[in-house]
Amino acid sequence: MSIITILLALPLAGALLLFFLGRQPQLAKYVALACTGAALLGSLIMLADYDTTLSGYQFVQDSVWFPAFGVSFAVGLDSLSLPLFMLTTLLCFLVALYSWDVVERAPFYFGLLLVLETGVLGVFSALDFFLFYIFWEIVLIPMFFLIGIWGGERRSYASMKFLIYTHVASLVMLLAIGAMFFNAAGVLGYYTFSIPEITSVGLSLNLEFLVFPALLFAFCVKLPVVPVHTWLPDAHVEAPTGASVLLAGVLLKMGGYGLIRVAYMICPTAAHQYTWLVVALALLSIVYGAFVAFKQDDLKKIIAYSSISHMGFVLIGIASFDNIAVLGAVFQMVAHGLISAMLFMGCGVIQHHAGTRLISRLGGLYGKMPAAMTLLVLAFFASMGIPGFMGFFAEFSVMLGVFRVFGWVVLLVALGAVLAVGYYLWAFQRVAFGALPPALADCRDIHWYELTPMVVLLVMTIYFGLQPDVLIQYMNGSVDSLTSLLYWNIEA
Amino acid sequence: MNGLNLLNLLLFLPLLGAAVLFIGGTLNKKTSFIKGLALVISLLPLLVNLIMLVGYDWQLTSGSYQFFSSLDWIAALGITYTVGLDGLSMPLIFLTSLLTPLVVLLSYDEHKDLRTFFTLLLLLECGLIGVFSALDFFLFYLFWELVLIPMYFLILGWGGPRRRYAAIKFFVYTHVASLVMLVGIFAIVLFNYYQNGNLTFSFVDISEMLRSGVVSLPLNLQYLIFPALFFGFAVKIPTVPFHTWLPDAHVEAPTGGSVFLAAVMLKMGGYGLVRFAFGLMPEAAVHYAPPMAVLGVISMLWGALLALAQDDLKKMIAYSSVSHMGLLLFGLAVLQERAFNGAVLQMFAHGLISAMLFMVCGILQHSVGTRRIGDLGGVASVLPRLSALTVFTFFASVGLPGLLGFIPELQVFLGAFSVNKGLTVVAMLSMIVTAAYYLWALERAYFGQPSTDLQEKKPHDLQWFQTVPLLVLGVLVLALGVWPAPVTDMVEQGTAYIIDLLGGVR
Amino acid sequence: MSSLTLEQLIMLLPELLLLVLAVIIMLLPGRGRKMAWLVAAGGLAADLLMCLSLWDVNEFILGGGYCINNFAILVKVMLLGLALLNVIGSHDFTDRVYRAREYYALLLLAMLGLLIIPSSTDFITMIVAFELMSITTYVLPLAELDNPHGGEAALKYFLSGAFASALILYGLSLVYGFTGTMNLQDCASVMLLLGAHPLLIVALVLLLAGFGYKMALVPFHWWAADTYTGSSSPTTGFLSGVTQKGAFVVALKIIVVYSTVFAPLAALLLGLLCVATMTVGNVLALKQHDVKRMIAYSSVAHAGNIGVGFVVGGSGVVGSFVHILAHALMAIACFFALQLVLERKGGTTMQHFCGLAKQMPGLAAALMLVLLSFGGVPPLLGFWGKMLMVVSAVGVGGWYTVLALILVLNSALSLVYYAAVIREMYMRPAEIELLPAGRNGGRSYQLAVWLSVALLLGFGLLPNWLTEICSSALLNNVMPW
Repeated sequence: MSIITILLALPLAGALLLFFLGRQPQLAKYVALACTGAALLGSLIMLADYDTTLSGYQFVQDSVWFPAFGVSFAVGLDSLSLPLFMLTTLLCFLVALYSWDVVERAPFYFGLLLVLETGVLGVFSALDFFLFYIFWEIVLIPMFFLIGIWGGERRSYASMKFLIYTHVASLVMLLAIGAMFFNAAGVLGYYTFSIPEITSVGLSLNLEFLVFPALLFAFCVKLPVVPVHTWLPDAHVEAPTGASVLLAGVLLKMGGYGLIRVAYMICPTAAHQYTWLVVALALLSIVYGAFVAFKQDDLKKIIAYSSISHMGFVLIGIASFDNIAVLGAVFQMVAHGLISAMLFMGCGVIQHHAGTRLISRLGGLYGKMPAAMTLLVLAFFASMGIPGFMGFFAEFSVMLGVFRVFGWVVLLVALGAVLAVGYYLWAFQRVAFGALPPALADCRDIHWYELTPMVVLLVMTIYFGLQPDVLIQYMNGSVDSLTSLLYWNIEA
Repeated sequence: MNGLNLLNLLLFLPLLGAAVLFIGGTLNKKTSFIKGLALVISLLPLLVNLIMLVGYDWQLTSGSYQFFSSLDWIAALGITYTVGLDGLSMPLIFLTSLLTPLVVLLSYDEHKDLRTFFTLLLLLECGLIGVFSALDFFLFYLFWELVLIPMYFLILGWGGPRRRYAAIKFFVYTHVASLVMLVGIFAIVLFNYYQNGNLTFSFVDISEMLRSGVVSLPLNLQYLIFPALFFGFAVKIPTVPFHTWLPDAHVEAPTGGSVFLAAVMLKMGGYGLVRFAFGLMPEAAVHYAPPMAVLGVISMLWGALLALAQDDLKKMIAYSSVSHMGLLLFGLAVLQERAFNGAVLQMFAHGLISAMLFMVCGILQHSVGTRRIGDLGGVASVLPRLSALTVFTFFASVGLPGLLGFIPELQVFLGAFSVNKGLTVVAMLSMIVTAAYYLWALERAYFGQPSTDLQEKKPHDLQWFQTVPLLVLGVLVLALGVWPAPVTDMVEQGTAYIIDLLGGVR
Repeated sequence: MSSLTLEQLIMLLPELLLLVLAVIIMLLPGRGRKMAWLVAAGGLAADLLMCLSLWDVNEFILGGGYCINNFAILVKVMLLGLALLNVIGSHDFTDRVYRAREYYALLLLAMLGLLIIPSSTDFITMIVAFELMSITTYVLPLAELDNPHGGEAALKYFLSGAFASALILYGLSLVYGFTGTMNLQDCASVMLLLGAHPLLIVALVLLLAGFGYKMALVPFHWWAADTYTGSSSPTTGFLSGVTQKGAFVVALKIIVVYSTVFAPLAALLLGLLCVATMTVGNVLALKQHDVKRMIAYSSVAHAGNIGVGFVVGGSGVVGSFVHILAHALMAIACFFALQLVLERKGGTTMQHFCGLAKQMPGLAAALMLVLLSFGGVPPLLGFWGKMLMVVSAVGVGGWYTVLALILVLNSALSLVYYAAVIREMYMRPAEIELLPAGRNGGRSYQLAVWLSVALLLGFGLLPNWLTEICSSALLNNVMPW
């Protein structure tokens, strides 16, 4: 049995345990913390065992599950999935800690959190399309509940919208998987859902042009990309902080991961032909997301739209087929995972202590909660791409690659980065400075369980921002395998 | 050559100091302790810098670097940690490390949260030294952007009434410029990559390749990249019409912030222009020289005229900076050796003098409570010592012979006159306007009868922590004005190779 | 014609046993509720075991008029198991309000019909068995004394059934007139010999319409919502979970006969019916406020889903069978859960579901799983059937891909209303207080619900065994030759 299987089972076991814990809700958070902590520890042990010099999957387990259709329980990690896998275990642990004060139906809350962890880890480690799809779907359910039960006023609308949107997208993905499956079966002469095998079989050109748009749609909804992004702001605004953190930090990455692992790896030719479309969508996301972020009064909505903008960087990085930009895109996924987690936590702190997130009702908070405000503004800096933070290196690489491939289009990408400075600083100034509304006269500063995760994230963001090589050594393989599919020829 | 040396120490000492100060200030909240600690910490880099000055190699050929160290950093993109200095950057680094303790002293009477204030100053110092010593594009950009953050907070936290608007404007303006510059950097790096297959961000390597002819940037590409870099630097300088952030930032910034802003941060633009834009793309620099020269002259005149129209003393000085920085651009763009050196020297000279200008202005504000010329009058009789130093400073800024401000102006005008008489004459008109606004301000604000209001207030004259910085700077301005050789030699050593590249008229 | 040997008689034992038990139940003394339940449940369980023992027997008996092969056994076991589940759950119900004896006797007779259908080798046997099943079930909605809607439900069911029977008989008479035989195999051979004929197409249309009524395919679905809603939930569970599934078996047999000549046409006709059924069923379900009615319409939609597999053929039929089982389990579980909600909260509208997660956490959790399974969320069994059908359809290609897409979109659409119920249960505060529990507290309902959920989860996690059996049983076994 692979260590991945154990890591997948661990949170699930915790969730089952929590299910029977209805009578001792105060124990729930300890169970959750222990499980996520054990998963984090396990994944770190695994990381130490990971051999960066090898390409291909490691810690593979391949057990027959459903042989009639060639379905197997196959998991493994490579340089693309490993960073995201680690990101997930880390964020889940921090969210469990951050949610220390959740008391309403705590066992259920933490149970959902753990199920979510299993689902996301499964998505990132599945080496079988069937398994991939199943985990993909499992992820929806706990998030649906997290938004719907612990969310804000319009939670039921938001949770339904989230569920429907992403479910439609995954069903479209299922169709594409079916097509790939039969194509592979026709070529190989036997049924298999194995991702590596189907990838190596590839598709005929005609089929690529059918399958790629479907996959693009499916993953773009998740990423999300304008114009199929509308579920995200609603979901974020209504979601409780912990869910927001995981939604932005991990769930969005499933879209980027799927794009690279499935859409681009299996349909490189079609992807190349559709580059204009993907780039247009990415630019639209980057610029539109940033502009809309400007107009928001809800702090969380600003961050939500900024996520859309930042995920546009991922998309355009992938679309460029350039190894630097793809590296940047993968790096951006991890960076955005850490940074958006920090942002939503900061936002949650304000909500928690000030009781509102509406900028028009906030002001002068620096005097009341200096530590929280300092962390928030550092998170803002990290997100807007100030050098020294992870986000910068990601955007830097993406822009470098984009410039290399698409030339001056990069200025539009840069526009997104510029606008980010504007909306973040403007928001920060209105929240932290100015007159303190009387309603906030006795709000206190950040709690330890909110501070700790944010500081951990901040330190990591700065460390990886200054020493990206530490992270890149785990990523190089994935970048190479994608770009080797279609090398962008140097046209001097 | 690749090891760590004093420059690395100089670079990270302020960063370390900032951490020490912040923690120390948190543990012990007494202001006297914080003040003392900050002063000691800020003096350390200056000390290191002085030792470096002693060890400075005056004989080194132009175009090579001292205190050079280079380490691999981000292998994936060929990014290195490369620092070093030459005659171009040494004066500016010295300026930075000199000004930090002086500004710390001057800011002893800042009204709130000295701990954070001084921490930000030290971070600023780190960023600025980094900008001037970085010899890797990535590292350079890192520091370039890092400088914005402490300055943003200095304006936001300790600024005047419109500080929030000014802070965000400052940040966004310069950030836009930085990103455009970054795209220009991408172009250079990628082109180098195509031509010799070596992806590197090291400025040293790339300029080596370009100078040795292994890699040559085609002209049409240079003509595209140069404006991108120029835009990035011109906003920082700032050149008309990209200057509008400057008066706002200056007016709202606290005195310490203003000093750094005018004395050092503006120089980042000039430095970048010389080092990167001119140094890597001399052909394009020659190509674009005429419009740049015209832009420089326009900045000189327009800045001076605007200064003439100001009622706020600080705004007047801010516009005078625009005007003086116009001289820098003009001097560079006439492509004449002496003018070029004069322009580079102007950066250092203006650094010292504008620091003094903002200091006297800030002190006046602190003790009288206003900077509006219309509200002042007869300050000289109430605050004689401050007024004396103000007069000295103003004359230094006007370019009185014998003071440092005179030398670059002389060099630029002499050099430029030999190349382009018409434009030089127009540029010299700005000198007249400069003299006019300073003298007029002196007459209105400092001389004449003091208003009753002013007399009743009994404002403080210079306190010791205000006198010391002014005196230090004043002595330097005077001494280097009389004997400019050390700094002119240094500058010539730094610029010689660029002038060679430009094929400038000697 | 060979004589009936003892061995053959033993093979007919399941059918005979049901007949005998039905009579015994009628003859039970007094009200006989407990006893009737016990006999029915025990009988079904015994029957189930007997059928299981006939696996891999593969014999023709009664002069070739009755066939026992793995397909027949699979269907029988499936339906018996489902019926048993239903009877187990019905315990608390018949214990209080039902005419237990009549109910169980009728139920067993209906099961008798259902057992004969898959074994029949000619149209006559099949139709007679089908009518036996139909006629007995017409009465079931009436078995509850105080159900005000029972009459309407039964009447609509009866009318639609009579109409369907007429259509079927008319269609069969055309078939007979054309081919001169009622034997399924001979029919197929004759059709193959004579080729397509317009009259046969008319017959096909009539047959599809007739069985379309039974399967509740749009536009023949009008009775379903009223009957399912009007009947008490255990009855509804039986109707939609067991007897309706029998109609699918008949339809499958007829399609196979016809597919010798008319495969594309039959597929197209049935495909159109399925598209209409899925879409209309879901849209109507979407508009419902009463959850029971919603599930009734969703049953209509699921009938469409099941049909898709028949249209696709091949491994699609396996998908259909998996989905038949899945839907039956889900329907039974769901209707028992609804019955419990009805008894404890006084109704089954959306309002009654508010805050159910806090009031009855166990039931809410089970119902949630059932609803997710309805919506096709992996890894529950409801997912696998759809999955197999979609994958098969995409594999065939052509317009089947469109069919798959429609199935997928409908599946997404259906999740809207399923999720709405979950939302009410979990994300809304309770508006209506719990009524005091009855004598047994609806324990048998809970048992049935959890048994179903366990099966849904178990088969969902390990679908291999199920699909293996289905595909091996279906392979060349649908028709007894």
